[in-house]
Amino acid sequence: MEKLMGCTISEVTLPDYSEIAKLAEGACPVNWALRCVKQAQLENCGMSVMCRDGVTQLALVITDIVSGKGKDDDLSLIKELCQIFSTTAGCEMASKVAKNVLYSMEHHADEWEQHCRRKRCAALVCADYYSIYIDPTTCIGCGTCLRLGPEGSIAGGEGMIHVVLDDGKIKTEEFVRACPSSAIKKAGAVKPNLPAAPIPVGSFEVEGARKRRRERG
Amino acid sequence: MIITIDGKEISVNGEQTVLEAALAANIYIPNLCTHPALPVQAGCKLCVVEIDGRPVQACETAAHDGMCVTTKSDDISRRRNVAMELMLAGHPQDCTSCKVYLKCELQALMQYMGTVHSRLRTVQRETNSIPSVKNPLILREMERCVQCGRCVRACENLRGVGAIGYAKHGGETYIGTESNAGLAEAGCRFCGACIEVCPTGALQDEEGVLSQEIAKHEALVPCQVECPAKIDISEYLRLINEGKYSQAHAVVREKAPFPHTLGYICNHRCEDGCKRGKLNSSISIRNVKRYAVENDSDMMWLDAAMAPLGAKSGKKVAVIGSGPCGLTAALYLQKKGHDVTVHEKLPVAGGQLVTGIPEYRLPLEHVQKEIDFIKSVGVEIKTNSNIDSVTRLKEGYDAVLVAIGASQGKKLSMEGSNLEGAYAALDLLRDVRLGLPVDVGQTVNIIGGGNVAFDCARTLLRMGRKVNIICLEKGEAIPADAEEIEEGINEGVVLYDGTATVQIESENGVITGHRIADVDDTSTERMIPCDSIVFAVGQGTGLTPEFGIDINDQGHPTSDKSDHTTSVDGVFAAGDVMTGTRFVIEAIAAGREVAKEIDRYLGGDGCIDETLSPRAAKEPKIGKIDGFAEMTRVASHVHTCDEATREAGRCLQCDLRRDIGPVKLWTEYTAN
Ligand code: SF4
Ligand code: SF4
Ligand code: SF4
Repeated sequence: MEKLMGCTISEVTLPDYSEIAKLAEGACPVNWALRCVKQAQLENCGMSVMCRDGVTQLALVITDIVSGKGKDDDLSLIKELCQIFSTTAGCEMASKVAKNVLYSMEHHADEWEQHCRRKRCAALVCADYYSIYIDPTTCIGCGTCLRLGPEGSIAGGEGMIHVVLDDGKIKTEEFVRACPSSAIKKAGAVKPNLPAAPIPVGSFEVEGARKRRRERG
Repeated sequence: MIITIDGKEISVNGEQTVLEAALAANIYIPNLCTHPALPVQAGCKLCVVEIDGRPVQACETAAHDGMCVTTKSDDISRRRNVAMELMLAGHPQDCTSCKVYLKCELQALMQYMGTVHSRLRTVQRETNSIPSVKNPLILREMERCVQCGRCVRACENLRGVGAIGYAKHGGETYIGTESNAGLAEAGCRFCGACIEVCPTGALQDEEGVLSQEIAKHEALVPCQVECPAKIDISEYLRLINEGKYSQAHAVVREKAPFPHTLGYICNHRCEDGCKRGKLNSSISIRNVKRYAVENDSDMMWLDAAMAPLGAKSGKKVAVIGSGPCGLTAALYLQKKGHDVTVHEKLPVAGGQLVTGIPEYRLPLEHVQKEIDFIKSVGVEIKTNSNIDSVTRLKEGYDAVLVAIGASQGKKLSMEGSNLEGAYAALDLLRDVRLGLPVDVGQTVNIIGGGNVAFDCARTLLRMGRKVNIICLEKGEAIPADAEEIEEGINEGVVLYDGTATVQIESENGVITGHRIADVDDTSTERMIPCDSIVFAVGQGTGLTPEFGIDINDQGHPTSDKSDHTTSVDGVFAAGDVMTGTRFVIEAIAAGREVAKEIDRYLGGDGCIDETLSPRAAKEPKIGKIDGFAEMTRVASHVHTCDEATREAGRCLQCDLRRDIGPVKLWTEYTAN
């Protein structure tokens, strides 16, 4: 009996599920699981059905879950698949990834539920579940974001409060960090009140505060 | 060693895996990526079973004494179903449009497991749209591939070629070649092993490559399909490639006692069938065969070929006609233990081999040698023995074979066709061959466009005559082989094609010219002066009712039965006399068939199979040869050992695929 399997697990360092316990504040366990899956998808040798088609299937379903297309029974489907993968002999990569996903699901069941059914990501990591905005009270009108953002994503001008027109291409941590005044922020389900177009720096605060007071009253 | 499968004890040899042991005991365990001819991959996970309460793959678990295996449980079903669903997630759902519909292992498995296309996400593989470089032999529809890897192992492990393998593109796995090159560039040897093992419709023989009309096992080797005598061509090509000329010669001899003759004049139907012809050009089968025969220095087959194929029967058989059909039948009947006497009306034996084929195409001495061998086995050949009544002859024999061929030259019935200088082509060829004087003058016009017309023309050219050929057909439609026409014209034949004979001109009973005209325009009528006219317009059997068997209007023997019998019990007929003019290899094949029938008629078993070159197990590992697909056909005759090796080495060894054999489907297992 000649053996052919060319599994590369020994050469690939997939994150270990113990790392999830150490996930920094603000990390998303669903996103973390998806990243493990995608890495395994890139690196597996393709010779066994669990590694090849199984990991691909996980990637498709979890991608749906983080992008608003999760279906009701997706969580139980992933669980079933992962339980099988993690106990199948000879599919090291699939087995390890499946254990990671299961671990994440067990320890963060709530977050998975939120992603799948309520289309929310508490950590504001999953791109489809947050939007990028510029805090009109913090923006200093320096124009850094306007220069960095692709054409059509930001509107603004010298001394003006900048406004996000389309956040499709700017949902990156780098972009968020680029603002010297930390005015670029993420919003989840609750969207803040924002100017529709650039207005001079300093002119929003008053407007907004008055409005808010009136609403409360 | 005993193991228990689902409570059933089975005995196992020490080498077997659990899967092998189960299948051998007729217990089915589903599996897809496993194949009896290939090493284990354990990739499809369908063969999962439980041992000691743990799921393991039966294909990679060695059986050991006392082992207790469970093949059915809810957990096992769930695992198998998931594996199957995963494979199907990327597989097209419409089976009915697939060419292997109902002949597909994957489909059979879906049936067995009851899997339907499922709750899983459908996978659209980007790699399906990698443009595949087409080739004329192997059709690749990779969207149907389930990546079981059988083809990869067939190519890599079984064949030692490694043209295809698992490839990655982003996160997708696919089966491909290096840099997605075409198979030819990837070093493929077009052995077809990958097609043979593929359980889906992903790899198929391109349409028209293999005949669908005959059993697959036969159809796999197209050269042999075309060969009337069913010679084991791929085997002798392999032997020639290895320089084993005597063995190669022996392989030909197993089916035809005229290998050398065939090496010269066979019309090589095998080459028309040859699969390599679709790739670039067919193997020059006839020419390498001739090279092998001519370089057979030890005649390793001689003893085996002389050995009888049955005990003496005490029966006597007369064969009328010593052409290839009659002599072939005579040889095998003699070997089957009967006493055979061949009656030849001419002073020399060989029939058309000797009198119909000119010396420049087939040197007489070669035929002579092959006839001498037949005589050495005990066949008696009586020359100058003209039999004009089978009824009288039959009295002294238990069976008679009429194999007189169709050697009576015909002439067109027109004015002048009975003049002194008007010949039938076959008569002329025969007379020249027998060294009889022929008086044709200086310029000869030949009417007809078949091979016989060109044989005649080229014979006369060699005798220093001027020759014109006048034939009705034009260009491609001329019936003679293209090679014959080309060589004839190069040698000096003047060809009037698309031309009809209007009249033979004569003065005082002497031919003076030939009036001809274009077939489609009578106004072109003109006269070509000539001294004689040769009719090459077909030939007949020359049989008359007086011969003693029923004949039809064309002079062919008739019978109520479809085989080689005639209207008279114990009198058989075969070869050209039955079929009209055909090729030598068909006459030989007919000789074999009728020999079997006559043997059965005389109480024998009709078996004339013999192995003159013992077969070794075929080496499945053919290895990689750079530029294999582009290797071109040897330009003309094979002159050197290197040329023979190279030309025979171009063979795709189509027969190796027969050794792989089909996989048994679940329906064929009965023990569970
Ligand atoms: S082409 Fe056929 S044999 Fe090769 S991996 Fe695909 S399904 Fe298996
Ligand atoms: S060498 Fe044979 S097995 Fe390999 S790809 Fe070519 S035909 Fe298939
Ligand atoms: S490639 Fe070889 S085996 Fe195949 S048809 Fe041609 S001669 Fe025969």
